Amino acid sequence: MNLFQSITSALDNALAKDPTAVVFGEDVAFGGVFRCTVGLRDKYGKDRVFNTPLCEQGIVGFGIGIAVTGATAIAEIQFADYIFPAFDQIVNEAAKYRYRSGDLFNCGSLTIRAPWGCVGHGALYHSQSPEAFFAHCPGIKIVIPRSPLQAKGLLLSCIEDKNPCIFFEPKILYRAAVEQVPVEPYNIPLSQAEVLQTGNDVTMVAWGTQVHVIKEVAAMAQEKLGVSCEVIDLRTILPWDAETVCKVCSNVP
Amino acid sequence: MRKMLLAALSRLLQGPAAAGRTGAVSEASRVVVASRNYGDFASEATFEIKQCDLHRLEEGPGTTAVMTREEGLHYYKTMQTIRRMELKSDQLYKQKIIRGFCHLYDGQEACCVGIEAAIKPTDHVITAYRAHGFTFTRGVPVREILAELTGRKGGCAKGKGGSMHMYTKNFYGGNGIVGAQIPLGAGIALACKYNGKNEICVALYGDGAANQGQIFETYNMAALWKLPCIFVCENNRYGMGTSVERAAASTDYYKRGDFIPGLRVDGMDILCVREAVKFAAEYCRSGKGPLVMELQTYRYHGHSMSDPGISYRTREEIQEVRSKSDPITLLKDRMVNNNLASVEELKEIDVAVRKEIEEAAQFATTDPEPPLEELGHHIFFNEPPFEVRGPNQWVKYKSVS
Repeated sequence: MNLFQSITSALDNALAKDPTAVVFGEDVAFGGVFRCTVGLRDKYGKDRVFNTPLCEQGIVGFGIGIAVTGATAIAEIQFADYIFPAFDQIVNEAAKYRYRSGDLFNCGSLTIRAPWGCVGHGALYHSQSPEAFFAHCPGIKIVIPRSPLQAKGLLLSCIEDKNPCIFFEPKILYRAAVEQVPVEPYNIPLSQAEVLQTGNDVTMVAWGTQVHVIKEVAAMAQEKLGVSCEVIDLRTILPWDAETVCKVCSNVP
Repeated sequence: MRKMLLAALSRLLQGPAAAGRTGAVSEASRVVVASRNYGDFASEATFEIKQCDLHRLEEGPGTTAVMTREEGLHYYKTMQTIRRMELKSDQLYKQKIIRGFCHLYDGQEACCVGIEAAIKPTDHVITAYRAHGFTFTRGVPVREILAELTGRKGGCAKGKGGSMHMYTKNFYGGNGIVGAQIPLGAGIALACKYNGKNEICVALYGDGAANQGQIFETYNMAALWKLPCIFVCENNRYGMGTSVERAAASTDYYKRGDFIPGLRVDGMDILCVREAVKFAAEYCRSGKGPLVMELQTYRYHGHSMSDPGISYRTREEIQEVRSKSDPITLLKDRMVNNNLASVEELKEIDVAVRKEIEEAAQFATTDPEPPLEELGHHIFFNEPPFEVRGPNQWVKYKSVS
């Protein structure tokens, strides 16, 4: 499967397993502008997979509402660049709901998905990587996968996680990355970084598309400079796996 | 018969002199053209236009419009230029000379030309990303628009803006984020009111954007403070791929301002648009506050160049609009049937427009790109130069403001 197909597979599993799960966003009904939701409406019905009008703040606010009642809400923001009208809802409402109600209410069953990152021709408003804006907000989780296999497992974990999650999907990899991905559901734990390659001289931490660049760089460094690099994929940006990174860094002699 | 004789005679007399549209016409042929004008064509005509639907208004624009021959020729040439410019952009995009995003305006020409005909150059306009038409009517030459699309330094934004970010005096773009330009429009209107020079702002958005929250926030502010702002919804029936019925609880976009009076206008008829905007401009200038206007229009192309435009609507529908409501054809028929111009004359304009577009495209494809050193400029203003990181930490661009 490629990346968008692995996302469809994850959503398919989630909708099958959880009868309260709903998928909504702009243009998701026909399959989405990146084909991530193809076939879901036919399979699960129009009251579980539906379009919203053009209103990001409304989409996220509405998603928080669904999640507060206990249903599983999977909202799509068409491009991460458009997430800013919803910034207030995410940071002020979703992230703080559990805390401010003393754990009486929560919107943990909310997951927001958005295509993320540069593609080369996206310019100002189809290329942004806004995870840094959210990375300092306690109460939400931010996850960015590097490949189809990772994406499915991480997305399913986000959907099942009892905290509101933002899942950024590297759009440049939607078709480009292809891997063998199991059709059955599986989970990859959140807040766990993955060490892709061990080394002694330098530690490099990356996420999303950049992981592939870093891997190439590590190979080049080994070949041309004789430098042995450790490559870590952070996977979850918030809360991040400080333990793995520090342990690896402190191993450097 | 007499008409044809006179026309043949004038062509003979004009000879090698310039093909009439530019100023350089010799004395002899000027005399001939003048008499041809008087003898052949009417100087103006009165037309019936559709009545506008009104919301919270006792009276609306009238049902007749007067158009002079000069006005008609000017509107025709402008609309034809925009049409050919958009088709040329389509061609250049398919040749990969234009990259990125490109949202074409063909089909909607009557909107921008009609608006410009009714406002003054000192008034202000702001719109969303389907902006090439407005960029032209607000005064940017075709070659600068095409050069901006191809990303060259001769472009109106020095090649750094592209399709969605074109600007000029009293035209504030060209904005990518849907709906974000409307609060800006209200701000411009506030400045108009504050400066007291009797200027207004026309803030445009689409049927998709009409459902954005910030638009309603803006309606409230504009009405509260009686800002001289005309909110124009260019309803081309589809917000990207979603038809209006599937996106909006109320498709009466002219009523969405609720407490703001509104009118719904046939956006394919340039005279209808012009009269409606004249009415609205006068309303705003008189201090009565904002107005909402819905222009019912249509786009022939898809949402952008990556949208074929036929998966959510039928080819038959597009064909039907093209054959029955095309704004350029409507104007042409009106002019010819009312003796304001001849078919040959309009054809000459077509030829001249085509030539202008070809030359502009030539410029746009051969002009050099802006130098790489300029990539980081204009981030801040009046700050000492600093370094901007490029795609990796060893590539740096100097940012000079």
